Amino acid sequence: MVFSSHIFLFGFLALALALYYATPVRWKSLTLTLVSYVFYGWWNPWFLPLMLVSTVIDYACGEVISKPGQSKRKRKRKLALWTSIVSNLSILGFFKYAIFFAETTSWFAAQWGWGAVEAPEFLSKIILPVGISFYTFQSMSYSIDLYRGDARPARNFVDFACYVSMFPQLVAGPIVRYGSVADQLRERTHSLDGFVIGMTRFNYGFAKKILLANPAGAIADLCFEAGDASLTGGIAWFGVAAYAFQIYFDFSGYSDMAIGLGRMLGFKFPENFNSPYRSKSLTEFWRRWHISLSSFLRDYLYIPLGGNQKGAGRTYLNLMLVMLIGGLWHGAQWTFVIWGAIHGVALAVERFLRVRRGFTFPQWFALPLTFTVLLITWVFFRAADLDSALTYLSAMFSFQDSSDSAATLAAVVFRPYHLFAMLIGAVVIWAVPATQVWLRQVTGFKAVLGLILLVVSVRMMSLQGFNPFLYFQF
Amino acid sequence: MSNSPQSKGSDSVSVGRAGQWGLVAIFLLFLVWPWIVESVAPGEGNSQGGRGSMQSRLKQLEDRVKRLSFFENERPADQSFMEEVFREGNAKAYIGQDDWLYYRPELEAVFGKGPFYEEPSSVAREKVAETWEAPLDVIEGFAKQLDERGLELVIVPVPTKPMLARSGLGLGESVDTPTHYREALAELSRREIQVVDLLPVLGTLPESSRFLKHDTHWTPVAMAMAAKHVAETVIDKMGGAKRGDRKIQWHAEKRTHSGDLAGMLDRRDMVKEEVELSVPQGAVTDDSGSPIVLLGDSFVNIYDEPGLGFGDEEDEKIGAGFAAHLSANLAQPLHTIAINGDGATAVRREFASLPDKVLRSKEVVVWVLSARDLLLAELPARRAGIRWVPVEFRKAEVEVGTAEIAQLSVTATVRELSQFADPRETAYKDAVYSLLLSDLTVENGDHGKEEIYAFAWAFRDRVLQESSHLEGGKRYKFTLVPMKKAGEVSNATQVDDLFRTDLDPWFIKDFEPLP
Repeated sequence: MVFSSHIFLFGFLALALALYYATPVRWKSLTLTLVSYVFYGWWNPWFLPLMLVSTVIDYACGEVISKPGQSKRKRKRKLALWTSIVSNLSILGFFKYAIFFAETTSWFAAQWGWGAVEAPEFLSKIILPVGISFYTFQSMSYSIDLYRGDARPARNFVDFACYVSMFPQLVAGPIVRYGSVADQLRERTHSLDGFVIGMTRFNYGFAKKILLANPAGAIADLCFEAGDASLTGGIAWFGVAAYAFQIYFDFSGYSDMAIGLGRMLGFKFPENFNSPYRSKSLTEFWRRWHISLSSFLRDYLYIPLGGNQKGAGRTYLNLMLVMLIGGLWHGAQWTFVIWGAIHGVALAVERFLRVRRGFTFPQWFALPLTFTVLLITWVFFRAADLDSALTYLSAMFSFQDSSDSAATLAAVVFRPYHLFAMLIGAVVIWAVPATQVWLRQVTGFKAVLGLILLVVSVRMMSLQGFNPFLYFQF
Repeated sequence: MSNSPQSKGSDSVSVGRAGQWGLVAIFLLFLVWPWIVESVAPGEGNSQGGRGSMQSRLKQLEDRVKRLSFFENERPADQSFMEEVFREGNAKAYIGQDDWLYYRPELEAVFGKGPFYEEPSSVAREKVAETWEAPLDVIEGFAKQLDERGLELVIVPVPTKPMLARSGLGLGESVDTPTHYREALAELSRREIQVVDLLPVLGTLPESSRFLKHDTHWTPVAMAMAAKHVAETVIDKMGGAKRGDRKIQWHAEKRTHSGDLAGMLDRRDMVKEEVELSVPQGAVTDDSGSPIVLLGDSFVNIYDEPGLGFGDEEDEKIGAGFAAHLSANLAQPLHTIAINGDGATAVRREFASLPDKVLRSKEVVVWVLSARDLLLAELPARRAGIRWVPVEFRKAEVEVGTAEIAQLSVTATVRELSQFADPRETAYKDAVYSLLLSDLTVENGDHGKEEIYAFAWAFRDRVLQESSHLEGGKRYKFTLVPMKKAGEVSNATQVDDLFRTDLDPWFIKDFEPLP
């Protein structure tokens, strides 16, 4: 069940809110956990035991870690921490990366003449559980935060299970670290103000998804699914720009809805986006894009690796390594690895130019340059495989004559509605304040506009085909 | 530790408490409003209630919510708004210039990646249970199966509308020959399969005479021209055999139609197109003894089957379709098997289920299908509901022969059933789906097998039928007739995931659940 579906809005949400608010305060976390398990089990009930196992392991590890003690105790705490990390990464590794590594091994074996190394048949049948990358990271952060002394242990198992499974942010983030909601799990305020703020935020997020992301996605799909003979430079650039719009509105819309739903339930989740396409460098982009992931990688990977404290060379290496892993986190494919690698190299180069040479691009040039580089990297992120990415890129930079098929594609792509949707998208991206800034103070006008947008979006949703959130696949 | 400095919003509401309660009330009322409307004015309940696994039941529940009357009632108005303001169609139909309509998968077939593109396997992408069979390999396999039985195959891909009717796309009257169309035809020839390329033939017609404006199909003129061209190829194929000696008389008939694409847009108000049909009297298209077999999809059935729009419901056949024209041009009868919406697999499956001795009496198989089925790459093909599955021919010794049995009454358990699509999202309006029945107790009639392979109505005229609610694992009393004797289903699309060519198909005429 996705947020932008009739069943969620007119079935699940109404019931979940009714149940949640009808439950006495002390049972609210249990109710939220149960409805969240229903939400998650909707995709596939067989995913539930997996999440439960991950939850039980991390809770048990947390219990061991949070008991203070001397040297023997320290060893146990360390063992519990590593049990948590290894078990989460193993679950993630098996479901997300096993087939990738097996196929890569087969490929290298074939290239280097080692003979056929066939991937076991069962690996190809693995189905990636929705949101596994998000909840394993969240669950793992509990053990790490406890070990570091950054958070207090969960009051009980239900609180912890509620934290891991909370439906608003379960499948596509924001990645909420335990430390940031620990107090709210113990005690949170349910107020009319909070509900109105959350409801309005949800409505704007919903509208972003339906009115902006989906039309952009339709354009991107046309272009990325076009054959080589049909793609011209103009169509290819337009298509990747549409994809850039789609992924931003889709993911930030989802985050708005998650934050809004959280607020309706009394939680305050971290922000995940801050007008990322207004960045004037990739370094700035990563401070504004998927903030919960970049700060997670910064705190749990970049800083433990030494961050920028071990010399310039090591800093560049750390940056590249973190982005490489960040790319792989998004998907078990070489396209994501390359996407991460390009970002890693670009961050290192930017840092070198800025810190060592004191060079920065002029303001007027920096924004379009950054956006153009981002478009090129999005090609790897969107393309089905490496060959498709390279073909698409070559189309972007080619000046080949338009074929009859290209003319047909252009007629379908450059329609008034598509141009209008892209224009509105561009205005929202570059000329309108970020949603959280615009809604810092919810006025009557903004709240009513939100409700109107919700109604319009629902009516539009009935016309659109099924369109799940992009980030669910990660 | 918090994730980011912005994590704790300092947001506020500058609306009075009464206003806030009002806003919340409107929001909550909106969430339950569709249910209130449904309780006052219930919709048609157009869903497959209670079939299959828990996951499929949840999916059915999702569909039911999506189809609440509140949404259904509003949709035509919203669609009209999108059309009037933005000239925007929907997920199925594309609105071109001067009200020319196109089927979206046909556009994708023109500018898409084509049949040679292999989707990479990845856990991060769309995961599907069934492996995808490349169309050209399936066709080659079918040609070999025919060759083993002494039959020759002539394949006739019907070019898609965007290849031949381009002025609606603002592209003038030219003809588009997509690269992968040329390559696919060349590859079939390389694999020694006879292909009839209709593109240059139909391209000689004026553009307005090639395809219907509001429909996916060709005009009667284009169809007649194609039939003539194919007949010449078949005559060549049969070693220059003479045409038959049937006397054919032609008469003209005018009919009107609103178009299947207009139907997909819920635009019943669109001006009806009038066509003049040439009806060849004396043509025979259902002679099972004919050495020429015609397999096809709706391009064969249009102007013949009234359900496709050019006839009245009470008409049995119009008799002016491709089969009639081909028969007339050959001046001999044909054995026609044509299934709307599934010219790729279901027709072959039905053909393969013919008794071996009947098959071996044939000489040529003419297979007419939309080029769309051939040209779409895997993902768009899957989205369009196109399947390419190799079929098994019935073994010579397996001759079940239901033809002699008029009717069978059994109590049985539904063991497997095919999953059919939402009737409002299909290109066809009538469909039957297959079921496998086991644990049989024959009450009346004779049946020596342990299983029954049967079809039941899924939907008619886009309305789900009672038999669409049959549940797996449950026991029923069934009244069955041989599929061949169930005339009313012969033109319905057959949704069949079971492919039991070893069993004769039956049709579920009646049923009642058992406690």
